[in-house]
Amino acid sequence: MTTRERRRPDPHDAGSGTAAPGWHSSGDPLFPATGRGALLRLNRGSGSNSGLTLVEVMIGIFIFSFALMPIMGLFGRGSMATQMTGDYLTAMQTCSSYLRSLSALPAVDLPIGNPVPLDREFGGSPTNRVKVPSKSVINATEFAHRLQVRYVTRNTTKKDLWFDFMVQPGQLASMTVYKQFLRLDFEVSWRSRHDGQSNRVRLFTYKADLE
Amino acid sequence: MTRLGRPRQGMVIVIVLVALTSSLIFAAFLMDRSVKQGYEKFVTRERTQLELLCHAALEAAKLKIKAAPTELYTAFRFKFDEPAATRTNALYEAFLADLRLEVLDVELASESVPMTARVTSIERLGITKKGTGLSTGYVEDYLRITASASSLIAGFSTGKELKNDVVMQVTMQITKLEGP
Repeated sequence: MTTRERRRPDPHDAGSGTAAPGWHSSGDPLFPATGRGALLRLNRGSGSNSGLTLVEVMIGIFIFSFALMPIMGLFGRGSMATQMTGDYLTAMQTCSSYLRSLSALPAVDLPIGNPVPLDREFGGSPTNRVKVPSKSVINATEFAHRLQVRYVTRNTTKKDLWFDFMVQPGQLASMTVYKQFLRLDFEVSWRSRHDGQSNRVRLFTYKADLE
Repeated sequence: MTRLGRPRQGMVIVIVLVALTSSLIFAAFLMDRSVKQGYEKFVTRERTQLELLCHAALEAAKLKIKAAPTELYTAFRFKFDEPAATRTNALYEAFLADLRLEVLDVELASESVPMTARVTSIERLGITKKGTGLSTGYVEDYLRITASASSLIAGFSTGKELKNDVVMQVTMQITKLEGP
């Protein structure tokens, strides 16, 4: 019988002389009489080296820890990337939101400037006003806002904008339609809380107004 | 070396290899996620920008139609209602020709990311409602305007090109005076 095949003896067999080696041969089997019996019980066999020593376990833990270190580092990087993406999306949402709100105002209510002074309300109608702050703090990150509004034209030599029509087939005519065709640039900048790097997002749209 | 020493050594090697392999696989997975996250972030920004441009193109089309509805309906007449001999798309195409933001703003073409935004079609919907209550001869008509915007970034991430397309539609009501 090999070491691995040994089974715990029946206590009723005590003293019968048939108990497996390593166990007390007479009396309570849970309390071996000799120190050798205790050692064998822990090692699951006499003189066995099939178990792991403390040194081996320590080496295993060290190797496993060494393998886990980059994974833990990546967890940290993943968390940081999530935070940075959140900041980026917040900035983008801020840009889009303010641009949509501003483009809903009449063009005459949009001041021309680069940059336009902020921290005030835009819009002449009391029911249609947009307040644009110069900065905002969202999720503990501070975002700075910058707005630029300027004329754009299809031809830089002319200020007004016109559209082409064909009154009759082969007969082209143009007509000045817009006095103002504005371009609104909204920029949001912020400093990352993790690496201190400055980031910015800029979106733009156009606003045409009929004279 | 003892009789049982060899399998134990093998087991340790297997454990180390499994640990390193799983570590590498997981790291590759996280790196892939990180790259995709950056990619999605960029794509979202591009799409938001294109939506804004589409919106601006639609607004420009609405203003042009309100400013010159006669020209548009003349274009519709030559496109659909004229006899085949005189039917032409030229007026309709001319009406749409400058409803392109890169035409309206010469600086758009010089942006770092090449993008286009234009009105692609203006359709008459077949739900014209006769009689508005304004007075005799006025009818309500409905027009569907379609705008599309696209951007193309060559060599984005591992040499692939990043192409985004956004299409938006809006239906507008127009009240016009019809002749006898």
